[in-house]
Amino acid sequence: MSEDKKMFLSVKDLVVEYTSSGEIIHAVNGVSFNLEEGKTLGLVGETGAGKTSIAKAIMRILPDPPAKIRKGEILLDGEDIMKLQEKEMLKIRGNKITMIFQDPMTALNPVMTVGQQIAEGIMLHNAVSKGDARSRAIEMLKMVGITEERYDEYPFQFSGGMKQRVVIAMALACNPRLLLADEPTTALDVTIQAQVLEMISELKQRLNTSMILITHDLGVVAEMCDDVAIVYAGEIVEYGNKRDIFKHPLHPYTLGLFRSLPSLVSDEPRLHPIDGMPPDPSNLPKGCAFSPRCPHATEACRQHAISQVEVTPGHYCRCIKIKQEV
Amino acid sequence: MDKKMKENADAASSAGVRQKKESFSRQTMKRLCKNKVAVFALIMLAILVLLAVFAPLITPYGYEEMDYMNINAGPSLKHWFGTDAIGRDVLSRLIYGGRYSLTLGLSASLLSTVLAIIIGSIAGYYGGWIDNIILRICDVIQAVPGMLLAIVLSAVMGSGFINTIIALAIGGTPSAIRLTRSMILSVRGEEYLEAAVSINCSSARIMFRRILPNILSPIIVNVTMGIGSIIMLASSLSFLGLGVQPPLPEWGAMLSAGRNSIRNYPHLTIFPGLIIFITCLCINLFGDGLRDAMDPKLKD
Amino acid sequence: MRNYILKRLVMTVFVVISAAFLIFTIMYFIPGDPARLLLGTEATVEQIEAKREAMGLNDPYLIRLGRYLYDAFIKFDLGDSWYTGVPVITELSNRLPRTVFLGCMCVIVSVVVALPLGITAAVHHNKWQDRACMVLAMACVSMPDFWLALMMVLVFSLHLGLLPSFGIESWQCYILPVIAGSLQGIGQLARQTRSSMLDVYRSDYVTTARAKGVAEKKVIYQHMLPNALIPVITIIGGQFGRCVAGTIVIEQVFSMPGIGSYLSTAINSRDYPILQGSIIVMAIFVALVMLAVDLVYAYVDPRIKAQYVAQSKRRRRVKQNG
Repeated sequence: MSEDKKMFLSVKDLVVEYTSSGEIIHAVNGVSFNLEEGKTLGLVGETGAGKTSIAKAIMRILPDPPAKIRKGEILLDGEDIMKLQEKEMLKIRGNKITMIFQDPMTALNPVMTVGQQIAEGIMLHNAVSKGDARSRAIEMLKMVGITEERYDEYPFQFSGGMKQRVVIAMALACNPRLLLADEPTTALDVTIQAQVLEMISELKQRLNTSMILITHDLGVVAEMCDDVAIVYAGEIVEYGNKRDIFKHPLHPYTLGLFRSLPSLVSDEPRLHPIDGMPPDPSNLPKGCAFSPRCPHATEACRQHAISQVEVTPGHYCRCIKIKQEV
Repeated sequence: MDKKMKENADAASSAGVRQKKESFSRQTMKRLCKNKVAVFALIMLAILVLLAVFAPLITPYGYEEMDYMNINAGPSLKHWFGTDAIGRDVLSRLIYGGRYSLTLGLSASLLSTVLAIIIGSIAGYYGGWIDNIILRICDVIQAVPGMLLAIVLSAVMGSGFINTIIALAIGGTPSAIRLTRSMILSVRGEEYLEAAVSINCSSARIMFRRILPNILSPIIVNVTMGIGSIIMLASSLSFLGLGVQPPLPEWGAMLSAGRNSIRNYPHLTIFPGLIIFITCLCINLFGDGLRDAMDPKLKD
Repeated sequence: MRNYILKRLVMTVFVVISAAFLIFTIMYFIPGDPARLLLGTEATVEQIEAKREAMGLNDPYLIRLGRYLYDAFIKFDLGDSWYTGVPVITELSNRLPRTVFLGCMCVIVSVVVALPLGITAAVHHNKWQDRACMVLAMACVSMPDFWLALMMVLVFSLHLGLLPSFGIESWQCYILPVIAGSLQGIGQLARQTRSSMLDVYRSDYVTTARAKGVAEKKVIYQHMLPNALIPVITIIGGQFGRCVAGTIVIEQVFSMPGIGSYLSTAINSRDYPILQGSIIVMAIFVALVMLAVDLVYAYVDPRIKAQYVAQSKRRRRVKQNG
């Protein structure tokens, strides 16, 4: 990957494995990408592709007995956070890097008031009094559109969309430099989805936060992201800015994704899903992980691992066929 | 066309259920075998059961045989666990006692389970006022804590083997009924049942071929765990003077009898209690292992 | 909230009356003739018949049931002992506080030992601490408490002479009984605490807390524990109730003058009024404890106020299975 600018976030060759009853599950297989400050990167892929594992690895909150970060460097502002001690990592989590999770219904502690949960994060990372933390938490609640009176209410008293707003308030309370959003709207209704995305977008712009948005919804990507990385079986198979990916998709998987979207303009008798199933992460095929499903697969595709190719500046693709055409 | 469709659909769905059950039990066996503790417990249990079954062939003495020369003797080469107040060999009595305890445990548990499955299925499947009445009766029975109920029942019915089985079975039945009923209720809404109804399966058929295989595992686990607590309860009853009484060699009764001479002849209380402990421990360990094997997600 | 309390109160009354009804009905079928027993073998048929009339034994079942319930709950009269003639209620009121005290001690010891055991096992999930704690808990659950009691008497009283083996004169008298009585409770509570904690361990809000940068220790004690303890409270309550029933054996072994020993003596002498009265009182006590637990539960879990119906149904099931 080119390193012309000093990148805000730089992930190099991340490998994450899970061990489960003797089997090794290769969740993330050598992922590398960069993120400029203030920009949004979309990680797109099916369920199980490894996107959440990438995000959790950056925050180092992978559950340690089954999961292990085998190798990789993660440079935040030039510093490799993989090498930090847990004590130092505690200062970064919730402070410099925060995360929003997928299911708002279970993301909040049922026996603590929502205000307390926001204030907890504030007090952890700032030397402020309880009263100041409370004011700041109220400020955050107002920012996400929740009134001050609801500070002392419990999560069960909020609807799904409002809970997610509380989670966002919690995540942004300490002005993080990097926000990891793991499918923040998947569990919400479409109308609420639009509201929440808009709010995230606005707050992000106001605070100049960089963001990694994990999603399987290309529509969300189109709205929110500057750069896009397509993830398949723990690898990034295509990477580039939004325009390149949407206007000139190259990788067969990316093409398959776009083609499987139902068309809003024409009448089609059938949908066009991608043939086959995603591979078993404990038993990945040799060579290209997509080859069993790829209509253009050749013998060479199944033999060895495929490397990234820079097709146009900033647009990368992991495919032999594309490499040959370049 | 309709008949053919029905046959095919029926064959497909029952093949699906059967296939699921086969690989499920094979999976369970595999997981169980990997759990060394559970396997060890199972082997110990098998030994105990074999000893109990073949008691007359194995024991050096009959359980009523009195050796007048050796009253209250401590452990020796002749009587490995010693003798009791009238010269009976403790080891032989313990092995015979296994017959009572294990049979009590198994029968009471099975009785309770069979009743629970029948009554619980009726309650869960038909709902309405039948369900209500059954639940109220369960409430009344559960108003009295288990051990107390067993004491009262045993006091009224008198000591004796069959009476004790009934007394022990009744206490655990209401909670087993509730368990079965809630499983039936949760499965009732499932789609494969709607599919079966849509091709005109009869109610009984639905209950037995579709519902039962899927609720079997919690029931099996419940039964296994229940046996351990029933054996414990049975020996508590005998200890108090109810349930199975001397001269029958029930373990709890032996403990009770040996109590008064604990100062001078402690072996009369050490061994019976030890065997109760080991038996219950093995049953519980195996029950735990079985539950983990049947549903690994429950393990954590 | 008031609805919830009212509902639970009504349920408790129902349980109490059901217990009395059930026990009375079961004991209705006791073989033998109480009148003959009381008058002795020399009594004539007329005397026996007269006694039967006086005791109301010839009345139909419903009348006798009604009379018993009325006597028990309105007049607080549970009958007299057939052998000593002492009113059952008098003895019970003397003995109940001692049994309750013993039961309380057992539960306290059980909680103090089992909670740390369960938490340790859960936090060190699948490592040696987990296995060790669970083996210990399993041993506790599988060990007959009356056997352990006897073994402790053997070692500590008879051989070492360190602790008394009967009576309640000094606080040392309580050491062995409390250890024996709390045993099963420790085992069960440790296992339940562990599984509660593990349930909570994988919750999303725990991950959220970690993502906020909360240190692991705080995550365990401030986020996981309060949530994990909620179902455990029900178990503790159930144990309280069961302690009273369980002390029957303990009191008998250690000759402590509580309800348990009263009951076990009555069993041996077939003194049925005592049996009947004691068991009903014990059942009532258990029901009252469960009511108290439910009320504590309501204060501890904020969701109760909104969802009490679902909670109480689920809790009843846990209580019955526990």
